Amino acid sequence: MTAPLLTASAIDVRFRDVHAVQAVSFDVPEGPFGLGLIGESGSGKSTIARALLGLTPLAGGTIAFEGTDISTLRRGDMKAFRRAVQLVMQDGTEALDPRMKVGASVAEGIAAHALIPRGPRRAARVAELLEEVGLPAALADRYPHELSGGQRQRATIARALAVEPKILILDEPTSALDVTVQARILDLIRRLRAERSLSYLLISHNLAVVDQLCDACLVLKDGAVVEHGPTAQVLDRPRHPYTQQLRAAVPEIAVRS
Amino acid sequence: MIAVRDLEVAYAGNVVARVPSLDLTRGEIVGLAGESGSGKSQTALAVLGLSRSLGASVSGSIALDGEELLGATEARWRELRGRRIAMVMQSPRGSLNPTLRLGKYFLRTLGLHGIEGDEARRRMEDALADVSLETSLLSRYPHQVSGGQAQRFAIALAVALRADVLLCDEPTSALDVTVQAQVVALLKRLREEHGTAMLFISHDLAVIGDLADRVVVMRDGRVIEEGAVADVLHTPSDDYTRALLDAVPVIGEKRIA
Repeated sequence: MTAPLLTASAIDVRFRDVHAVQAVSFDVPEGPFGLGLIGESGSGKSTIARALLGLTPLAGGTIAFEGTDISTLRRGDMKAFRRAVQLVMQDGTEALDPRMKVGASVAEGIAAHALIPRGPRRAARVAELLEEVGLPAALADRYPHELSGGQRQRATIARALAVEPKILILDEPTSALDVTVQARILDLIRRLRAERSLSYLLISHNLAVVDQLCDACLVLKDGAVVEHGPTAQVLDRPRHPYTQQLRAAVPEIAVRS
Repeated sequence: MIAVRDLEVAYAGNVVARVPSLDLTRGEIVGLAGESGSGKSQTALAVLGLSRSLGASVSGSIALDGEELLGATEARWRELRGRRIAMVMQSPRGSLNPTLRLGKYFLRTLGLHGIEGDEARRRMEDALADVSLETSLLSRYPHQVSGGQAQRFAIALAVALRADVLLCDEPTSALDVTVQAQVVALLKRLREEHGTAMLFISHDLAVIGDLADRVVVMRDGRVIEEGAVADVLHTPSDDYTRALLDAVPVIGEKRIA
């Protein structure tokens, strides 16, 4: 067996006197694989995402990419790491520069990593990426404000895929979307997972969203993992009282008698 | 209690909400479901008499216990708003005054409605107990309380004013799921104990199914289906309602692993 793509080993993050992340460990194997990070506000889930991207210093523990501690990466390897791990945020509006046409935003990573020279080949690749995420290629010439929320989120995903990442970090990717739009984005992620053998870390407060897309999940509370296991097991037979409480709080479409 | 007939809200000739008929009786909870742009919030703003100040034109009829409100003066609206018809917003912190401690804000609001001195203080303490908030919260500023606390505070204000109609606009959408469950339980208790009538606006059909007696589904400014919650959620007659219901992710369905 090869090393997992991404390994967090007992990572700790502190902000002054707040212990934001406490001894959190997990592996993200080669795809197709989805790991869910479930938690409420302040549980530390987004801090973990930032730490994985190397954007928040660790107070303890290590993050390894393909077996190498990312804190030891040299410049060139760091660049390769940054290409391999791509972030998709909650709101496509923030990830897309409002002054840039959508096509230019999607091409930004291609340019930064010098993957395809500027010109018709790059434009063709952008068109391909937009089509892969279910957008008409003509949207490349539009500005973000001309797109709907769902279209912007698709464009953000196309932008992340443009550099051929190995892992996506999806931070509440559907939380700002209407429910019918959310359903289509979940379908898109499911399709990309199969077609690209994608690995991803999905951060969500929505248990049902994690359930649909993740093979395994962690439940976080106050920065610590309270439960970790295959998704079906964690959500169908939660062992920790907090997971049971979360599970019980989810309203389901059942009707009051 | 509230009777809406042939309501039409328009901005510069564009109709954003058209509601042929909507009734709310004492102790009844009506869910108003729909996605962005469906007209559900515009309907609530009209019932609260705020559409005109936002630049909309409103026609039709909105009656409160037989009194026509559509042509009411702003002075009359100020008497009714808060006192008879109160609103609970999605982000209650945004509607509180950031420069006032919560206790001062509470008493000042009661004062605007002629409730002062010992009577005001007594009502405030009773209302806080009703929503399970500690009185120590009163010395804090809005930014020093959690979203769930701010939401309960907004509800306490409506309770203290003895508002008999509560318009709730996505009151739980910004809350964590365990906090959402607490707020839903609180609203149910208010209805039981005070007979408060509620218009509960939400994109979340599961929450509406849990709380409401009847549901009105809106899309693109129009009412497309309405009826008893059990009927609409179990046997929807409209394709869009069905699509909305199908889009809600459910734990245990569409699992990957």
